[in-house]
Amino acid sequence: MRRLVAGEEAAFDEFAADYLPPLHRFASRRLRSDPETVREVVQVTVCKAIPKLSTFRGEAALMTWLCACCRNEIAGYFRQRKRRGVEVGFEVVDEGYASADLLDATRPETPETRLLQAETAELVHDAIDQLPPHYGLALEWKYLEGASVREIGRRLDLGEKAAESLLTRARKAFREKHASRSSMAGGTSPASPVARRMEFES
Amino acid sequence: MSKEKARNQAPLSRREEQIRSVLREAGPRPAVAKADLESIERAARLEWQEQYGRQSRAATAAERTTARWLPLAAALALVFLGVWWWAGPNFRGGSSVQVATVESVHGSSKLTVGEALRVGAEIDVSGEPVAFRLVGGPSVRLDAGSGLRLVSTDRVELERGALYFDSAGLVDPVVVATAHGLVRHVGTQFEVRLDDRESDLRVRVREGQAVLLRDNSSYSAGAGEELRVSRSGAVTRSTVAIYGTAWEWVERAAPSLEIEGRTLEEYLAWVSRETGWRTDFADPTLAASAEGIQLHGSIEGLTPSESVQVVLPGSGLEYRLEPGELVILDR
Repeated sequence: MRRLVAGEEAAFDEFAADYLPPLHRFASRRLRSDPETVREVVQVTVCKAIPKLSTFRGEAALMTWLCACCRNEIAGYFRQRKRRGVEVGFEVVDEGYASADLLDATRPETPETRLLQAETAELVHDAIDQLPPHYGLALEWKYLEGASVREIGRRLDLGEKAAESLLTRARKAFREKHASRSSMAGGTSPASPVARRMEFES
Repeated sequence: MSKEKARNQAPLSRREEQIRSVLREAGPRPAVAKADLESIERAARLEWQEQYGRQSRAATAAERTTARWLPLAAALALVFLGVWWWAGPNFRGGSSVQVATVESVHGSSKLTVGEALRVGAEIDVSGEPVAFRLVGGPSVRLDAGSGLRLVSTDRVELERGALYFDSAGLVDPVVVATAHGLVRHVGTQFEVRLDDRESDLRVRVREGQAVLLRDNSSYSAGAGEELRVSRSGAVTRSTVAIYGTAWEWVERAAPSLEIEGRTLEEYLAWVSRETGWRTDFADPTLAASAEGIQLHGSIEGLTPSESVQVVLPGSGLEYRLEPGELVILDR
């Protein structure tokens, strides 16, 4: 952050690479709108946030803070267009669906289950995007690509031990973040299927 | 089979298996369209350059001005030094007695690690905090924006900013003189800050005791206490946390610890001293084994609290932070 507000180009490059893609996905999941609208909302969010970076005191993670700013812009967008946004499983729950159960590929596919699977996948992606930038990458490289710890370290310019400890922290952070996201998506309507949290073993 | 290959082929723990399952079923995060990202980045960069590029440009302009005048200034300085040196120690009015040694500097600083500081030396810290050690053993750190004069081996004058003093368990008296009173330690870690937003002088004690002498009165503060001299001259005492953000600059200035060959117990004692945290083991048998765990590697460049994130997992341990306490658990 110090380097960023000191005007270092390299620091801005890192900021853009680490925060713009997850912020865009955050807005996209909530707006459910055309790409042009999403791009505009994210652009306004970032341009309004940048002057406030010098006063950002780090009480919350930077990504959390940026998402809060983005949420305000999204709310403003909906107010302006007098349209009720569809929020899926994060803050406002229309019908509680998200369940790790429904990621079970053996269930017969219906439009409903496909929708539920997509929403559950979004919960996972949202949780990863909320983690510190390198945590999400390390988890995806390890568990989606099967990269070795050494390779992860090489990509992040870390030693093997540092990469291993980063993975440990990433797993823990992901378990906590995903559990809280899943519980927020729990259904409250009696007519809804009961959402069961994905509970990681403690 | 190589060790790395064996590690990669080793079965995952149940926890890891769950995470892998969740991630695989969700699939990778969708990529954002390159054109969209580039457009956002362009707009953001313009805003950022407008806001923060000015500071950078001002700094560059200052550097260019300095570079223009540097050759003349250097020539004049050489002439002055020649006269000064020729005039001898009496003219210099100083002393060759060494009072302290620089222990750590961060960012750009006129001081260098290992540099000897002598009686009468004036230290101005504009950038990052610096740390030096008095010849008697105590450690002194100066926050950014601070100015101090080394009067003798047992007296320093704080002219502005903040100073952190760690007696390192030694009892030789050292006095910190300020315009608002003298602060004397009694086996202490304490901070003295001038011109705080709310007071003229603030003394915060982390360990031991410090005594403020002022207007023929003395005021003492113990661990977790703070003395304030208000603008009106009133002295008040209150409690203060011995860990947390208020002490962050002190951590940043801490000289790094060489951990190679040290025991975990020694390392944790250092972390506790530098962060103000109590360290506790969730399991007494784990505590007993801490002496036998030998550390390897380096934590150079990490603050004490940052180093915990690397050293403990690297030793096969986990931890959790509670207010003022570092709890260590077996993995």
